[in-house]
Formats: sequence, structure tokens, C-alpha cells
Amino acid sequence: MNNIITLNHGSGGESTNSIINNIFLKHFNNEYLSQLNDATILENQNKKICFTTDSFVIDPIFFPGGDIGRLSICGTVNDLACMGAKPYYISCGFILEESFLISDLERIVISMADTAKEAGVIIVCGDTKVVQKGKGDKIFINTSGIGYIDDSINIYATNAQDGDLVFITGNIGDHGASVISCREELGFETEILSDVCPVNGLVSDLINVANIHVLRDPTRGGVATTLNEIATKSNITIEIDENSLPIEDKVDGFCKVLGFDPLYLANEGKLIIIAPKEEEQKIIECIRKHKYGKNIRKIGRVCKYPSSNGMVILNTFIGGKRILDTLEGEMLPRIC
Amino acid sequence: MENRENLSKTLIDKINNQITKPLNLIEVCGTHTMSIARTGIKTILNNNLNLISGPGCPVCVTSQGYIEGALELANDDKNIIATFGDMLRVPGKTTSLYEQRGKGANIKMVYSPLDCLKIANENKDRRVIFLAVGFETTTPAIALTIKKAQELDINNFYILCGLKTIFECLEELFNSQEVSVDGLICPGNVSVITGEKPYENIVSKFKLPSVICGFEDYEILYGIDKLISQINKNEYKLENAYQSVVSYQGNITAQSIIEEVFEKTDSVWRGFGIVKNSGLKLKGDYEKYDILNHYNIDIDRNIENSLCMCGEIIKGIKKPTECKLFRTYCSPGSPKGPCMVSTEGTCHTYYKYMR
Repeated sequence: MNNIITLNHGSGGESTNSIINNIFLKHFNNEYLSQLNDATILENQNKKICFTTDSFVIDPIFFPGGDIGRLSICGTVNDLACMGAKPYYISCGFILEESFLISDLERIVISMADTAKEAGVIIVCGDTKVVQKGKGDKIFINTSGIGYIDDSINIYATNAQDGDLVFITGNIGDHGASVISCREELGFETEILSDVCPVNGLVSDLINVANIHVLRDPTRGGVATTLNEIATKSNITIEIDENSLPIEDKVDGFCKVLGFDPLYLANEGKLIIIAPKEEEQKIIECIRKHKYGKNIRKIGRVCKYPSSNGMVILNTFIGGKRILDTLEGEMLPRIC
Repeated sequence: MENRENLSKTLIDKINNQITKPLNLIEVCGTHTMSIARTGIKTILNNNLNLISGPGCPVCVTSQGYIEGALELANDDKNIIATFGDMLRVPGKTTSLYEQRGKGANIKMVYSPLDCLKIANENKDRRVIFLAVGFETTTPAIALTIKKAQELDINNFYILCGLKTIFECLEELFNSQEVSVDGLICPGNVSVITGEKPYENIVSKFKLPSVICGFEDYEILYGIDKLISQINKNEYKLENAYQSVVSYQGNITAQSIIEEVFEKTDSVWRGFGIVKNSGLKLKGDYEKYDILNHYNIDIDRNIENSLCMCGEIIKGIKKPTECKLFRTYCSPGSPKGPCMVSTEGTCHTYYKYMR
């Protein structure tokens, strides 16, 4: 094999077969994929099917704590998990830029295979295209996922109710801070690790022990934006206590230097949980047992006020209040 | 954390108990604007205390002519525009640098002006033009960059100079008496550079109680407490409550590098018009780095949106909620004026944190 991707690799001929066999099949090896049919036939478990898709264009493609490959599996697995579905099958489509290093592709594919194994999902179909240099950006990945969901599960963003409690399963802002901080021009020496991980195992245990109203993973736009979506969809008010938010010191410091707010930075391995208050103890005990939930915190509550439904209010450290709005526009570091 | 909360709560009680009549305190620093809003201080202090945001955000006070000038420079293929993030989304008459970047114009966001020299070295066939906007806090780094360019013989680096100094504008503001002010929360970052000395004139001329303070909740509350004490005793003096980083003399090295590279000039401030001696321009050997030697651009043109109230908001005369565009047509995602663009702009702060 050459050491770089060329347009030939996308042409469907020998070069394409070479990367399919030597990279994709080698690492994603399973009975479905190895048949190399035009489409894959899957068993139906006689349950409702849950289906989602996501595309990944992150830059840099390798960052502290993860890479675009791990992210592409976790993003789709976690979206299924947030509906209370058990994820099973993943598809992946790659768009590669001409001259992308094959060794980088293999590194990413290995990462996807490892992550899929950790999450208990299998990659059952895929596709690869190659675009000319300059028409892409190294690698883009799309993953779609199928999961199955029991009829008894009723977890939606519209379900938050007056009196419910709000939890976050760990530190906020890690992924966003990690990715921005490793941009070359910043010259940051402190390593901030992304939190990218599959949380479906955590969800599966949780919904077995507790009655859950809402589950969401606060990705783009951060915790603040996701809470706003829930508040709007459920037509309630969410109150968050600033002094209960778990933030790692490095992320806090990074945000203060650049003028970012951790509440608006992406998370890729955390869950917002909203549930009736009587479930509090069960939720904390269950999540704390998991390696991805050790720092679970109760961070607020759901209320219903006639004038502020659809909003999120933050109780500040000093007992003041302010609105916690949705992220609008791109966060830009400040001038001074 | 607990000590900080206890300290803040003690100060809040003390302040609220000391306020006996309506008072206006003004701050002139974007970071103070944001910290006050973010910490929710206004929601727990006595209603008699009115905290006004003055002209503290350098992006917000930059003239519309400067923005149009930057857009004109961005349109020229020979140029690479380098800018701090805040400036990207400031709306011009029909477009913004952000939009132009999306259409392929060569516009780069930088975190430090020194990054421009690297860009200039990598693009020797292009002019790299840095949008130099800021107050005393930012000017030393820009002066340093100009000196470095000289040292390294980089001859394709320029600045479009919109740098300002705050003190002349403060005098103009207090002279105008358009806003009645009982005390001044002095800009913390500016004070690190300038020291205490430049405030002496303002304090004595306007008999204005003034405190330099930091940006954490308890630091701002401490500053407010000091001001109320002065007001209640009918005193007026400058107090430095940020002595960990602000000295009487300020940062002498920074001051001398500014002095070496720049000299004072008149400058147009949004909302104020021309304020004499409140701007900076390159001097002597450093004049060659001024991009206006190569273009006929008038950065002092006044072409503002007539409905946009940024000018009056910057002066503290009006609140964002009094602007017809606020929340209806103007939002952080679709700003009509600079006060909504900058994360430290008054309108942006109101939009995000207050309803």
C-alpha cells in the first residue's frame, strides 16, 4: 500500500479493495461486514427501532483523550442511549482528502474498533469516498446507529416536570476546552483531556434502577444550551446552582484566561439526567459506581413559573440570579 | 469557595445597609460589565444602587468608519486581515468580517498580535494588516509587535490603528453631565498599565469617589463598599483595592514601550464623536507600519444605523432594553451594533444575563 490516500482509493477498484481489506475489515472484523454485501441484513428484535445519524468534522483529528474515530462512535452510541435505547449496529461513511496519511486512517479505524468493542456495538456497513486535495479537510466521518428500545421506556426532552431534580454525570466543558486548547496558535502547555466516552452502559444500569424523565448529552453548545432545549420542550423553568457545577481546575483556568464559559463548551461523555426527586439516592449510587460517573452532581431543579417557562436561571455563587441563555453564534475569545 | 461566598454575603449586607438614597456608580471596563452581570450582583443589591456601564469595551467604541475601512482592506486580495475575535462579527453597513471570511476573504483570527509576524513571514507576497483596537491594556503588546517587526526587518506587516486611551473620554463623559454619577469603579486591567496617577486629575476635577478593583464577585463588592463609604462621608479620593497587580506608577516598561512607538492623536468614539487626544498613532520610524500610508480610507466617517442606540448605551444614558432593535432584530447571533457583538458589550451582557 502507498502511504497516502489517492483518488484511486475512492474509485471502487483495486486500491479501494486494498484499504477495505487491510484497514476496515482487518479492524472492524465481524460476520456482517465480512460479507461485503451492498447492504447488511439485521435481525429484528421485535422491539421499537431507534435510529440516529451524526457527522464528524472535528479539527484537530487527534486531541488529548481521543480522536475523531472515538468521537464518531461515542456520538452516535450516546444519542441512542439518551432515548433509553440499547445501541447495536453502526454504519460509517468516510470522506477522505487526497494525501491523507494511511497510517492516520488506520490509527483512527483502530480507535473506532476499540470504542465499538467498549460500547458493545458492531460496525455492520460502511462507505469510503475520496475528494481532491483542498476539497475536504483530512477526514470527515458519518456514523448512523440502530438501537432497540423497550415499550416501557419513556424518556424524552418533553418530560421534565415541576419538582424534578437535575443532575450532571461529571465535570463540564472538558471536550470543548481540550479541543480549543490544543490549537497550535494558543501555545497552551497544560494538557486538558477530552471526556469522550460511550455512556450507554451507564444508561442501561440507570434505567433499570430509577424512573428517569429526561436524558441528554450536552454536546455542541454545552450544558447551558441543552438545558435550554429541555426547558423549551417541556415548557418549564430549570434552576441551576452555580456552586454545585463540577468543573476541573484546568478547564476553569483555561476558560478564565480566554474568556470562555464552561457551561457553553461541548461535552462528549456526560449526561444531563432529569428525574423525580425521590429517585435522587438511587441515581447517585448507580452512576457513581461507573468509571464515567464518579463525579456525578445534583446541579438544580425544575420549577414552573408563569413568566419564565422555557428559561434556565442560574443561582450565582453569591446568591444572585441570572439568565443562562442558549449559545448564539460562535464563542469568540475576547480582546482584553 | 465557602470563604469567598461568606465574604461576598457579608459585603452585600454591609452595602445594602449603607445605602440611604439613590446612587449611580459607573464602571468603564468591559470585563467589569461582564463580571457584574455574570455574578448577578445587581439582583441582590439594594434597588437604590444603579450600576451603569460606561464606554469600557474597545470594540463597542470603535467608529463605524473603522469597521468599513477594515472591510475595504479585506476586499483586497493583496491583504490578509488579522484580528482579535471580537472584531469579526461587528456589523458594517452591509456585511461583517465574519461574513466576508465565509465568502473566502483572507481574514484570520489571532489570539496575540505577535502571531501576525509569523503570518507575515509565511506570506511574503501579501500585506498582513492587524486591526489594532484596544485600550491601554492591549496597546503594549501591539507596540511590542511593531518593535519586533522592525527588529526582524518584516516589511509586509501593518496595522490599522484604532487604539484609544480611556482617560480623555472619561473627562468628556463627566464634563457633559449627560449621565449623573456618584462614584467611579475604575477599569482594573487598564490600571495595571497606567497605575493610579492618571485618575488623580479626574478625581479632583469632578470630586468623584473612585476605586480601582478586580473582577471577582467579592472584589467588585469590596470596591462598591469602599465607594459607598466615601459617598456617605462626603469624601472623594482614589482608593486602590487591586494592589496585588496595580501599583501607583503602573507598569513602567509597558508605558515606555507605548511612548516609544505611539503618540497621541484625536480619535472618534462611537456615541461621542471626536474626543481630543484620546487616540494613538504610530510615530517616527514606526509610521511606516500604518496601512493608511497605502490606502485613502477615512476611519472617522460616521455612518451608523440610525436606530442603533449603541452610542447612548455606551455613555450610560440609555439601557439596551430601551433600544427598539434589542431582542427584536438585534441579538448575539445577528448583531446590529458592536455592543451586541462583543462578549463584554453592554447589550450582549443584557441579552445573555438579564431580562
